[in-house]
Amino acid sequence: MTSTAWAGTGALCRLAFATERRWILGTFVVFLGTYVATAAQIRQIAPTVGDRVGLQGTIAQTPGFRVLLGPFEHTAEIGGATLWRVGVFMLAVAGMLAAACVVRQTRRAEEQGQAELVGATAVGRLAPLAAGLVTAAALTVAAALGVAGGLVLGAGSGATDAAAAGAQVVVVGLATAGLAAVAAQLAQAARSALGMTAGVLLAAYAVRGAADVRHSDAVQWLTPFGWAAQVDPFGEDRWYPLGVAALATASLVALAVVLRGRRDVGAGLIAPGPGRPDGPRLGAPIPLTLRLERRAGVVWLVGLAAFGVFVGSLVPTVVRLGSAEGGLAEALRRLGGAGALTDVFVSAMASIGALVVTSWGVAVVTRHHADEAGGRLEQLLAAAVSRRAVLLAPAVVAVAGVLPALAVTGLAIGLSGGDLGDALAASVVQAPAVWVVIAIAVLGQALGGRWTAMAWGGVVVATAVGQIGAAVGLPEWAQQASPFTHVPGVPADPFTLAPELVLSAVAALLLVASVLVVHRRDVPR
Amino acid sequence: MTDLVIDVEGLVKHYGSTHALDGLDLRVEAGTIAGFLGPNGAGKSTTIRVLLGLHRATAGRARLFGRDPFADAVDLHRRLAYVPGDVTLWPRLTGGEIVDLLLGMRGVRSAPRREEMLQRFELDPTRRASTYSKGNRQKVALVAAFAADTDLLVLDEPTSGLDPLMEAQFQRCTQEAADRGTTVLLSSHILAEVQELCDTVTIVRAGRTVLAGRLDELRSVTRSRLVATIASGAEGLGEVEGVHDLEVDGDRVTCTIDDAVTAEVVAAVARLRPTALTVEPPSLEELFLRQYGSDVLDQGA
Repeated sequence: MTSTAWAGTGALCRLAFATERRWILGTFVVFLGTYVATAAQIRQIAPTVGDRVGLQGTIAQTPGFRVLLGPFEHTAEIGGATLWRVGVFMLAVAGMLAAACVVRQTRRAEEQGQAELVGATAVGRLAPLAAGLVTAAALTVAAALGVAGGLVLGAGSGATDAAAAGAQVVVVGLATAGLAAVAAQLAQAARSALGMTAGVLLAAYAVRGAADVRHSDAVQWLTPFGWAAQVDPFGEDRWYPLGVAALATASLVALAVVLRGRRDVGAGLIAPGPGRPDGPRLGAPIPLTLRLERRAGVVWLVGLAAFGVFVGSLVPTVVRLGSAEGGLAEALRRLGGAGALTDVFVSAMASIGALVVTSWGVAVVTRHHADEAGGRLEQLLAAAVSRRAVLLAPAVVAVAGVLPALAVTGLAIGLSGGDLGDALAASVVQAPAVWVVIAIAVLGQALGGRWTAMAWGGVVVATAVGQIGAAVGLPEWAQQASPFTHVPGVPADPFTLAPELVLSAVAALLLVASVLVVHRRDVPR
Repeated sequence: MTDLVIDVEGLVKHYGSTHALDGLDLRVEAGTIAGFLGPNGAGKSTTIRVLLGLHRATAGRARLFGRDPFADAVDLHRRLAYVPGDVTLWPRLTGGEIVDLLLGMRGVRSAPRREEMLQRFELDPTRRASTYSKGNRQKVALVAAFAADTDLLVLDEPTSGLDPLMEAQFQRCTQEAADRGTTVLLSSHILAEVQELCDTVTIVRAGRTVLAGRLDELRSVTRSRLVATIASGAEGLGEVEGVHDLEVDGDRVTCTIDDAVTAEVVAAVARLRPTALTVEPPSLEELFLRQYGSDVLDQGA
């Protein structure tokens, strides 16, 4: 490999930072906020060491929680509990953000043609990869600083423990960035490269979870999550796993460099196979939406079912908890209202499942904007299809998909430990609230331009207000802003029809308004 | 009265303070191929977006088959096929799927020339759109446009990214469509393509029509160019009526001549015993550049 292959890395890094800046800043803010908010939540749920030891001995021991969150080891400080509550999950998030950064700068740039433009200048073949890795490293450090800052500010943790928690992020972030660098050489499409990385990371998460359930430390060394666990913040505060991660990342990057040398710009080592030569049933907006959303929909459904099984498996533990713990039982009640602890738990979990369903629905609806920005919408509208049909096709698919998706969640909870009828009802009553948020997203698409941001704004408000609002003691009027607050908390609370009807009517009105406004503007806007 | 498929008069479109169209006129008669010329940003694509009902005109008249392109968009679109200059596709669908998708959305029930067009444009329908080059993406839209009969083809720089062989194939397909009675609006930068195909041309600049008419008529109001090689020089040629812009460079003589006196001028040149002689009608390029050249001069003054 000649040194000219890296030429222009500096210039390309400056360009990469210009596009990645908002991701890097956003990552810092989100990580900081998550840790501050989680620390506040822990202070509410388990303020004393006794409470936390209680958590450690009960709910944290269940297989479901050990798979999802890892072991709860350090109860002495709020920070240790905070890290247990969100730490492993946020490591995976940081890894995926770093991977996305690498893929954007390498494979995506090749896909969209910028790489060719840049490659024709005095910029070496490996410079885009270097720029992607440098920006991904910067993003990882931003996430690490967010974690450390959040622990210091939110949980009052000491500098060494906070830095060790940040180091965990660096371990997983760098390793995943290296993984993405390899995947970007293998796959021909950016989406596939990211999917490949996500698949490996998810497998690593599952291996780590299984190892945590079986208490097998040797297996932990197989995954970056295990290396991160060796750092052991709030315990030993070890630093050598950073070296392990650096070594692994360097090996992966070396592999990526070799692979890059063996392929052309735009080509992948794994080329996608041929597909169907025709599409006789695609000539209408709804079949087209179904075709485009098919694969993603199955992934979401499997995820919802897994979530339901996890929740259901926790129900027996919650029953045992009901008679004992003061702090945790109180906090769970506050999350969901009055009633028997199990009912409150099922209801609260069903509303979290409903938020996942909402995110799926909004992702489907925002396809309209993606098609508009990409120029595809123009071709559809130049055919004999009305704006209303093109706007409403994803909306119809999303709205219609809500009930089956909620039913799958409820069934999974009920069949794996909860009461089947109760779990199903708890999940399905959320539908009108989900419809409202989806309809807000549709209105955003109909208005176009910067209004499209309304789509995810609705999800963020519903999540922040509905899920965290009660825990952090948000005033009553602010909690009312989320449609999920108005849904009856079945089975803990009795079912009432009125709010369901009102929410459905609001959703319907928003959809009607969307159809009216989409006919008033230029497309593309 | 002639049957106007496209009838645009005094079309105005403002985007905030930007005036994309400033009184543009465009008429296309049924069964003709109309060239639509102008530099980047002249308003060609904006006009097409108004004609497709995608954008709403600020003022002026736009009629497609005598109807309102915005209000009657869906009905009108059953009668047309559109090929944009920069075709973007659904990356995970195959070329064949997208061809059928576009045909289906137009309301086409059967596409008799689908297989023929796939072959003529050498497009592999099993490849995913994410693996297509720019030229191949254009071909997907072209195959869908030519695969079934349609009353109107709206082509907005349709051949960008095509190689010369495919460009020639495109010209043949367009001519065949016109022979079947299809009206064609062809917005293009490639003057040779327009000169080859089009019956009429409309040249626009800065949102306004600056020249429009039948190509042969436009040529006849402009002088032809005569180039001759005459060893004895151009003695006396300057006095012949209808000869302009006479230039002599050694034995090479060039001038422009009025069409009405072509025979007399050629006879006068013949008496000087030239060793070579060509008389050419003005090319579209000359028309085009003359239009812009004079405007540039006007602006400079």
